[in-house]
Amino acid sequence: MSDPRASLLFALADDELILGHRLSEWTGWVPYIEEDLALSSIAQDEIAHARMLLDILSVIDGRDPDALALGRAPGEYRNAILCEQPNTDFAFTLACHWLYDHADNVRLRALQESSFKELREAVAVMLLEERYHLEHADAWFRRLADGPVDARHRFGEALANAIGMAEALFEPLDDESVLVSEGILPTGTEEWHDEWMARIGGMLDEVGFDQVLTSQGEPETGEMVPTSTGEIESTEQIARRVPSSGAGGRRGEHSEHFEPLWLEMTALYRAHPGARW
Amino acid sequence: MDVYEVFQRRTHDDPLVHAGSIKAQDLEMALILARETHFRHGEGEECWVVKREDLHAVPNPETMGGVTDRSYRRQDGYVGVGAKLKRVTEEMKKLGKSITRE
Amino acid sequence: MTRNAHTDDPRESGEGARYHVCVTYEERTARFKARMDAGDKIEAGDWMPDQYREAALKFIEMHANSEVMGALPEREWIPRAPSLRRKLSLTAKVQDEVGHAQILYRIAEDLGKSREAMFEDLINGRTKFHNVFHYPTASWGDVAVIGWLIDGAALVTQRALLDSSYAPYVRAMRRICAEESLHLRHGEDLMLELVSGTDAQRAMFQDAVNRWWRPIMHFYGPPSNPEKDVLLYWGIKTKSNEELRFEFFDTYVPKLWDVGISAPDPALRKTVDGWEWGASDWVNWDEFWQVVRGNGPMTETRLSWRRAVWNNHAWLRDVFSGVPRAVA
Repeated sequence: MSDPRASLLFALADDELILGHRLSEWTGWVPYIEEDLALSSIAQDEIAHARMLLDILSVIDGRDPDALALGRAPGEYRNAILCEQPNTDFAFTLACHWLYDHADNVRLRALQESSFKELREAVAVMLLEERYHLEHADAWFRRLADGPVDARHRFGEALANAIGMAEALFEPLDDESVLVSEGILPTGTEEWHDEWMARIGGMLDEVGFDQVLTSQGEPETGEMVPTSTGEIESTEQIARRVPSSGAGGRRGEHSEHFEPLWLEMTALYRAHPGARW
Repeated sequence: MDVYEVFQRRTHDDPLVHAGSIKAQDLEMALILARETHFRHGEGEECWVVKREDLHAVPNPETMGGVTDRSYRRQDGYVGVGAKLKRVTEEMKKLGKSITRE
Repeated sequence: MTRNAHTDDPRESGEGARYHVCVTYEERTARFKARMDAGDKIEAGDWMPDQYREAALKFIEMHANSEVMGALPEREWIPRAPSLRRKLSLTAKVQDEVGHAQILYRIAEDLGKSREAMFEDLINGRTKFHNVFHYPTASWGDVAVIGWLIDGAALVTQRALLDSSYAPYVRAMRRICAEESLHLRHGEDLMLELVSGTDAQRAMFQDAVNRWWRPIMHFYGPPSNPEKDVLLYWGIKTKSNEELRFEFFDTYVPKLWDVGISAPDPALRKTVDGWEWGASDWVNWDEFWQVVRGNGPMTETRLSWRRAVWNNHAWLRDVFSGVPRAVA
């Protein structure tokens, strides 16, 4: 990747695309219908944001947005591995959603000051929709943290399982020093990380979830929900397979959940080169 | 005194629509008064009231329905479909692919 | 919501109103039926005969079940959608089906059965839904067939419900039909891209039509005797199976033929006064009865997934049902 802006756009777009993909898999399955509708709209927002970012990238890269979204090799995707984790218990989805959307909010706010005009404009639009994501994530955060014992316990476990992977949303970007010196990144990923940590740390403290930040994720027990194809996978297996550091996504090194996701997401597109749909 | 919002159904299979508001000291009075403040000309077949403080607006309504492109959720996202059908139909006729079975 | 203004329905009055207490259940039912036959609509808070309440609840509950289960076949293709726009539009389309379930379950709840109970009955096979569409989805061609022909088939029956006697259902159906006509455009758009695309894309669509045509015929049911239909009697349904099937043919078959796609029923042809369809070696009412009794090829699989998700998330329902909090 010669243009340093590309590494930033790939990271941002792939996070939104892969998380949006995972969230869209819940459409039709959420065991609370009103919430199914809300989460599906959030999934659509994320995919639409990926599309906006890939539109910008397409000018730099030359490939069209669909080719960028669905036509790359697995190692070329730069999303954090948090975004590719399979849907298991809904508490885990809500935990990832809360951690992710606060992280996304921190970096989007920083990017409002970017010297990269097209990105700055896209970010302004994205932030309008992300406001709802935060309200939604925080509302669930309070209800589950404050909820019955079982809900609180599951949510706490899920947060502990996801926190390492969420921190890796702030893994340094390729060419970050160039991006900072050119003002494309007004602040670096390390500062974003610290701001995010202060923000979520405060909220976790408030509800007595401070152990989330100190504990290593413990495997959850036996929750099952269908994956995209409806096959059933247990979180017990999943949690053990997650690398403890959670890093690697920004270098194209993914967890083993990525390849099946990629295969499913891209197979039809790749099978018919040049077809219109 | 509280403010009560007044809603009406014009006929029984119409949706409830906002008709206005009144001041009353309690629900019973609101029901009694709304009848003559808003329905004395026979404006509707049903009248409903609710205390204003019990109505809550969704925040940030300007982002409802999405800010980024959501045309796929609306008819205007598919305006070209009729013309496309015509075009494809003609194309298939030319290619001798269309089917007739009377 | 309660009707504060009156404890009983003023429209039911007529001359008998003053003697309410003396009126027998049968007389009240007869008056209700007369009111309904005159085209009057019934509201949730109105007095209604038990038979009406039960028939309406059962019908709307089944409709809601069908929407929430019917979302599943096509959602299998959300993760595989071949472009970003299609990924978005298909997600939104399935979301709308879930939305229809939400609207309908609310209406059914107001007729006296909780959503929990309805879901428990659904996942445990105690209530029905339209099984005729629970076949595997093999390709993107299936998405186009479901979005255009199957939604089209369903819309024919749903439009007929706009005249239903139960007013909350009518209001719901107005919104649902509006959304469904959007879905038809979406489905038609998918179809047109496939039939005007590569040979592989055309074949994909033709193959999907071949597989889904019989389920669509099953959807309308066998030709039935309208006089024996309790739903027609109560005006919850207003058209017979065969009337609805012909409406479907009228709308869709010419379009299919125009774009060079055939229907697999060898007998299908337009006649002067309607349609000829269903060659005897082609229709299979045994399969139909198997499927409607809940033995659709994918029925148990999809139900079992829903059961797994529902059962594993009892904790989520507890969040809203007043189970004591963890922290004071």
